Amino acid sequence: MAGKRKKSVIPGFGLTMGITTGYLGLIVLFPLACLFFQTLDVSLDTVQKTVFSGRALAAFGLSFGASFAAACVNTVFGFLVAWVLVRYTFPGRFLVDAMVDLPFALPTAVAGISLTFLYAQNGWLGKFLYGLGIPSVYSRIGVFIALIFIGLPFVVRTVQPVLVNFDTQVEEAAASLGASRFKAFTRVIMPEVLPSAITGFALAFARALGEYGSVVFISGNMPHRTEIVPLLIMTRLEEYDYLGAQILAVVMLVLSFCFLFLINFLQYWGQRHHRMQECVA
Amino acid sequence: MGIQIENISKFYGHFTALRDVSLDVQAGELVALLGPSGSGKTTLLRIIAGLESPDEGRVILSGEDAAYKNPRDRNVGFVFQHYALFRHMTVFENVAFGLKVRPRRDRLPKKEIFDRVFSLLKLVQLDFFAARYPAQLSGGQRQRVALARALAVEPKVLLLDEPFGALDAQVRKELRRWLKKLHEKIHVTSVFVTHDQEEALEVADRLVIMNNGAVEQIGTPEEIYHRPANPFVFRFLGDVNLFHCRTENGHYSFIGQGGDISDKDGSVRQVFIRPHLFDISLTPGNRESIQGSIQHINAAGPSVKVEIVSEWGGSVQVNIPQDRYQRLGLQKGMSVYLIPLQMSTFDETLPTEEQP
Repeated sequence: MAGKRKKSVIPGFGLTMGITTGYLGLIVLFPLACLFFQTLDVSLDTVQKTVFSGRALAAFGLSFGASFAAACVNTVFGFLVAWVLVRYTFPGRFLVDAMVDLPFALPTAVAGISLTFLYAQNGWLGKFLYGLGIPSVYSRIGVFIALIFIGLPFVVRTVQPVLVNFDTQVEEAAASLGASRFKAFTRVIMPEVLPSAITGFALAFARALGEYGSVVFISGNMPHRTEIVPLLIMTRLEEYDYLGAQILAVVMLVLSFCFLFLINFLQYWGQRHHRMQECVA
Repeated sequence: MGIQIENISKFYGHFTALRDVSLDVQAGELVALLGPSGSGKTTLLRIIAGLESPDEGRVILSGEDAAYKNPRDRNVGFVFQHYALFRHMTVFENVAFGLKVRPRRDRLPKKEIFDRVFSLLKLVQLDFFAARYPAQLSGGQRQRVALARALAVEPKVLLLDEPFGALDAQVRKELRRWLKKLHEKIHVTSVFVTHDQEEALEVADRLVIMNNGAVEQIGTPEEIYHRPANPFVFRFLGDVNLFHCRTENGHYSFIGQGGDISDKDGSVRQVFIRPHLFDISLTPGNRESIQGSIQHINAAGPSVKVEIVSEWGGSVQVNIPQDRYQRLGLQKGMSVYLIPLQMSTFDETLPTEEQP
């Protein structure tokens, strides 16, 4: 008895942990590490020239800027869509619910082509937007539009289950305590939903950063103006500048990781901060 | 401060949740709505709170028609069965919520909110837990937080929807005694819903017995227990045995058992006898009795529960005192005679729950 190892109540820790790390290592870590190590022996000078060229900086700026803006828009409207789908019953609700996933399933090139047709100067929507002086294709706005399209499902699908599980009696309690609809929403519903909305934001943001297929059609790919980083990497590859492509890829990887880490940390910190505030009050 | 409910009906499609319910709750009274699940008691409570609207009839709170008043303007405290606490807030924040969400012009200063919340937390004996989150409390403690939260806004009426329904038996008993004491201290007009007749009889000043969306009887616990208006109320308030009895010239004789009476010549009546209102005898004696044999004995508890198969083949529940059981030396399989100590009859024309 004395020599027996202590056993956890939940069996299989060793096995599942082993498979998890092995799998993650093989599928995610190994390819990324290879990419990373291949660029290690590159001189700093080359890195600087590749990354800090005006064209690359503009591409990074556009990629992160448009992704961030699109993720913000998706968070607001995705929340709204989730709210409507959960809170109200209306004919065709299941159809709308299924439609939300379309940007997931559609080949991104298809999305890019149809968006370009729609928003082009003589397209159905483009006609009006150009009339208002908004160039909706072959511009940064076009990139922004495409990224909104592909990021929508993430926020909807992360917020929806939280809203479904939200106990409506809690809202009724708030109402019976004299809270207005607005106060019940901001003080009772939002704190419950916010973490999932931030998760949805992070997913939409990450998806937008990596998006390539739909953007290349609508952006026009003008260097310094409407070129995104994934496209710049493709261009480098086509020019047989493998090293340049690799360096850009690694920088993209590190920056994306930093951003996602920051968002996760924000989410964690936000909840903690919230909790501490409650304690002090 | 009182509540008048006038001819309220509520329909969900074809289902009638409430049918012409009227009720007067006096100021400072503690009234229990008692009934089986689906009897409409919770719907009635939610209508009083304004969480549902009646299809017919009206609710008058403190002499004012509440028809067009939002829940938030009714000044009604509501306590939910599953607490419905704000789980991202501490106990303190939960109780303070109702005071903090008031429009700025009628909001109390911070210091007063703090004092009010702490005096309420003392009242519910949770002042030491002010900084905890609901998840860190037991069920009974959570319900006390919910109660303090409802009382914080000084409601004119306190409504409790099966407040102890989700708690275990021991905590239930403790909390309902505590609620009774609390009500004696603060005397807020209160209505609480329960399906537990013992709870209702113990806590309430008056009981409203509901069934199928209608009121069956209203009265004090004593009235209801000793003078139930109809078979439904009788059966709902505790275990009961049903027999058929033939009455002739003031004499009666047992002729059968069960709910339905096959013989309809007018002299047969349905008789209700509670388990503790039987005596067991080993000999027939000279009083009208029911013959049977003992099928099961459970001597654990304040009284001995004996299950007997009657001469008509049905089962009869009998509770006798421990000493009586010892003296008789009852054993499984013994043949015995049941002597009713008190019987209740209702005219068959009175509605029973078997009738649609």
